[in-house]
Order: sequence, then C-alpha cells, then structure tokens
Amino acid sequence: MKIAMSANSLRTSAQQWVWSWRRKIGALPPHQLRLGAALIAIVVCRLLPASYWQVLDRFTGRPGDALLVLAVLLLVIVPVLRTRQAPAVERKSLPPASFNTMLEQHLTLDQHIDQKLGEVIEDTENSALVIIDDVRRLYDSASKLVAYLDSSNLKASSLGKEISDSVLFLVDIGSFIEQLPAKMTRDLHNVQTITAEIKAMSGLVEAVHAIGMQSHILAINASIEASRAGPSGAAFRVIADEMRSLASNSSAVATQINQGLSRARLVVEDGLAASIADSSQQFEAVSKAAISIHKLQDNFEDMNQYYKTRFVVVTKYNEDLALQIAEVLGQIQYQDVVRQCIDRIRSVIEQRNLFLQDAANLIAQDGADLTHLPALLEVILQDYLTEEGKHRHSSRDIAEGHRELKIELF
Amino acid sequence: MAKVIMIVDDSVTMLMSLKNSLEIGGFEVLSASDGLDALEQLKTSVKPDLIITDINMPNMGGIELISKVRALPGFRFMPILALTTESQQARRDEAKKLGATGWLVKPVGGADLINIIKQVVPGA
Repeated sequence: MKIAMSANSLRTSAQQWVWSWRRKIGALPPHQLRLGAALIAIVVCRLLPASYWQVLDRFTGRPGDALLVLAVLLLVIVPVLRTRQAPAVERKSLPPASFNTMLEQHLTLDQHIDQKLGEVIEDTENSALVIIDDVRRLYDSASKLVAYLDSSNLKASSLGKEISDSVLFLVDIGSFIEQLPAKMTRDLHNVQTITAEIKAMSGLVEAVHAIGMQSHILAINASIEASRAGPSGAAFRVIADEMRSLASNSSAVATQINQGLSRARLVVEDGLAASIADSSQQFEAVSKAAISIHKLQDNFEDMNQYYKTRFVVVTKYNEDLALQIAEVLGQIQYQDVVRQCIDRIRSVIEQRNLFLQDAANLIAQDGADLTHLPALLEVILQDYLTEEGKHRHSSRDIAEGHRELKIELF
Repeated sequence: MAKVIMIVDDSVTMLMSLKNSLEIGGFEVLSASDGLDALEQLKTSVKPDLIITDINMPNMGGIELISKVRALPGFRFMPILALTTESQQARRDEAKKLGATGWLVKPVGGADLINIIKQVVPGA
C-alpha cells in the first residue's frame, strides 16, 4: 500500500514538473521561442556524426543544405507545435475570465452559506433563550406549588393543633360520660334508700293514727266519767273535750302527713322508674359517643400523617424536578459549543476564500510563481485542525482515544 | 444567606443557562459579558464567593481576568473556575499557574456544577 502511494506521489510530482515547464515554454514570446529552437537544432546537429549529413546531402545535392533545410523546418514546425499545444494548456488552466467567474460564484455561494450559518446561530440562540425562559417558568410554577403546599401545611398544622386540643377535650368529656352510668346507679341507690325511709315514715303515721284513736276513745271515756261525776266533773269534762280535740287534730295531721308521704313516694318512685329507663338508653348513647370520639381522634391522626407524607413526597418530587431542570439548562450550553464550532468553520472558510482570491490573482499574472500556493493551503488546513484539536471533550472524541478531562479541580 | 457567584461569558445563552441553573440551586448570581466588565463589577459591587469564567472572550479573556483578579486585594484565595469549550492541557496548566481553582469543559450539567461549587465554596 505504501509503495503504491509513493509511486503515485512520484508520478504526480513528475507531472507537476512537466506541466510547469510546459507552462513556462508556452509563456515565452514567439521570437525567443524560434531563436531557442534554432540554437538547440544547431547544437544537436553539431553533435551528430558527419556521415549522417553526407547521406542527407546526397538528396539535397550540396553539402550543408541538409542543415539549412532542418533549420527552416524547425522554424516552421515549432510555432505550429506551439499552436497545437496552446489549446491543451488553456484547457487545463482555464481562461482567466472563466476562472474568475467561477471563483466569484464560489465566493457568492460561500457568502450565502456564511449568512445562513449566522442565521442558524441566531435562531438556535433565540430558541435556547426561549427554552431557558420556559424551563425557568416551569420551575417557578413548581416552586409556587411547593410554597403553596408549605403554607397549607403550616395552616393545617395550626388547625391540627386546634383540632387535637378539641379532641382531647372531647376525650375528657367522653371519660366523664363513661362514668355517668355508675354515678346514676349510685343516685338510684340513694333514691331507693329515700323511698325506704318514706315507707318507714308511713308506718310512723299509722302509729300516730292509732295514738289519736286511743286518745279519742280515752276522751270519750273521760267525758262519760265526767258526766257521772256531775258538777264536780266539769273540769274533768273540759280536759276530756280538749283530749278529743287533740286526738282529732293529731289524726288529721297524721292523715295529711300520710298523704304528703304518699305523694312524695309516688314522685320518687315514678322518677326513679323513668330514670332507670332513660339511663339504659343514655348509657348506650354515651358508649357510642365515646367510641365516636376515639374514632375521630384516630382518623384525625391518620389524616394528619397522610398529608405529612404526601407533602414530603411532593417536596421530594420538586427537588428532583429542580435537578432535572438544572440538567436541561446544562444541556442548552451545547448551543454555545456549536456556535463556537460554526464560528471556527466560518473563519477557516474566510481564510480559504482569501487564499483563493490571491491564487486567482497570481494565476492571472503571466509568469507568476505559483509553487508556494499548495503550502499556503496546507498551513490553513493545519491551523484549522490544530484549533479544532483544542476542543476535544465529547463522547465522540473520547471514543477516538482522546482522554481530556471534562472536569478538573486543581 | 445565599452564596454569591459571578459568571463571566460573552454568550447570552451561557449566561442565562448558568444564571437559572445556579438560582435554582439556591445561589445569588452576578453576570458579566467579558473580563473587563467582570473586573469593573468586582471593584464596585458585592464581592462574590466564586467566579466562573469563560476563556475566549472579547475585550478581556478568562486567562487575563484570572491573573488580574488575583492581583486585586482580598481576591487572592477566592475560588475561580474556568468554564470553556477548550480542553487542551497546555491552557489548563496556564490557568492553574495563574491561580485558577478548576477547569470545566462545556457543557456541564446543573447537578455536576452545583456539586463542584459545593466542593470549592465553603458553606455552599
């Protein structure tokens, strides 16, 4: 492979050398060309042996005429050859006017490309700024949501404390209500004791009645005895009347007491029966109320925990969103990387076009030295490659074996 | 209190991208369009906790900015990060010699950038 490449290179160099000499010869004025050809012919003829000329002289008839004929032929043939070669030379180097037109078209094309590249940079920059703006707004919206949730969380915490205090109060009431049945049982027992006491008092009233009756009988007997005694029993009759009155009054009072005790017993016993009936229903309601209060407390704790967990989750999602947005913003930096890459390409195209304009001017000049042009183009190429070599950092460069660190702290 | 970071770049895209990334990360941001602008702001405005500068900029590039910042009183130990598309070692060595704290090649993701800032800025 290397040998083939060397052979190709050698052939190319030889062709370039031949073309350069043909171009130099072609550029000579006609009189110089003819004189040079005649001199070369004379030198060549002088180098030939005399026997060659003797053969030719036999055709011409006189010695030396052959040389004369050869000189004339050269003077005629060289311009003819030059005329035949001229189109070939012109075909390879192109007429200056055509070349200039082509160059102008090329430069115009490059101007359009350059303008379009500039527009692309501007468009991508504008687009990147819009993306940044949109992404930032997205983050701001997410942050507002979190701030709103944070505020709601604070309010919910405050409200939760109030609810918690109320629930504790309700729990206290529940405990009090739970103890109510026992209290009511105690009250019922007291009421039963009072009823028993009232019943006992009713017995006393009967005794008072009996005493009244005995007093009445005694008063009657006393009155009878007073009548028997005659006038001497008058005082005794007064006592007997008073005793009868006392017996009558005590009996009336005993009846009233008995009636009062009966009413009191009825009231207490009826109230007690109603209380007993109500207390069983109230006990059931109180039990339900206590269960509901405890359930309410448990539900509140669950709800509180649920929202706290949700808030933590939403906050975490927001943090992740912020990181992802920051990553997106980082990727937008590629716009600047691409912009700089395009700027370098535009710069090297400009340098190349300047080179082409200079080269065209030189080519248009007769006899100008063009040999340095390939080297100049090579310099432009190498400068561009060197500049691009300073910006190796992408995964493509790393895959090609370049290991420049992307992040380095000194 | 939020740490203050100065970003120096001639690209509007870079400035906006970095500004938003850093603000989302909880930092306060100052922006400068080139080294000269940055120097003027450093002399007049709040002293930042970190400078992140591009290298190739008009008027004054990042390398020159680093050397001039180091010459300012009170800026000898301030962390300075270079953020550029250039990656060759010779330029890194030059920046390191002049007092740069680190070298970052564009583009750098937001999470990476914030991690690096936390490494070079105490209390960030």
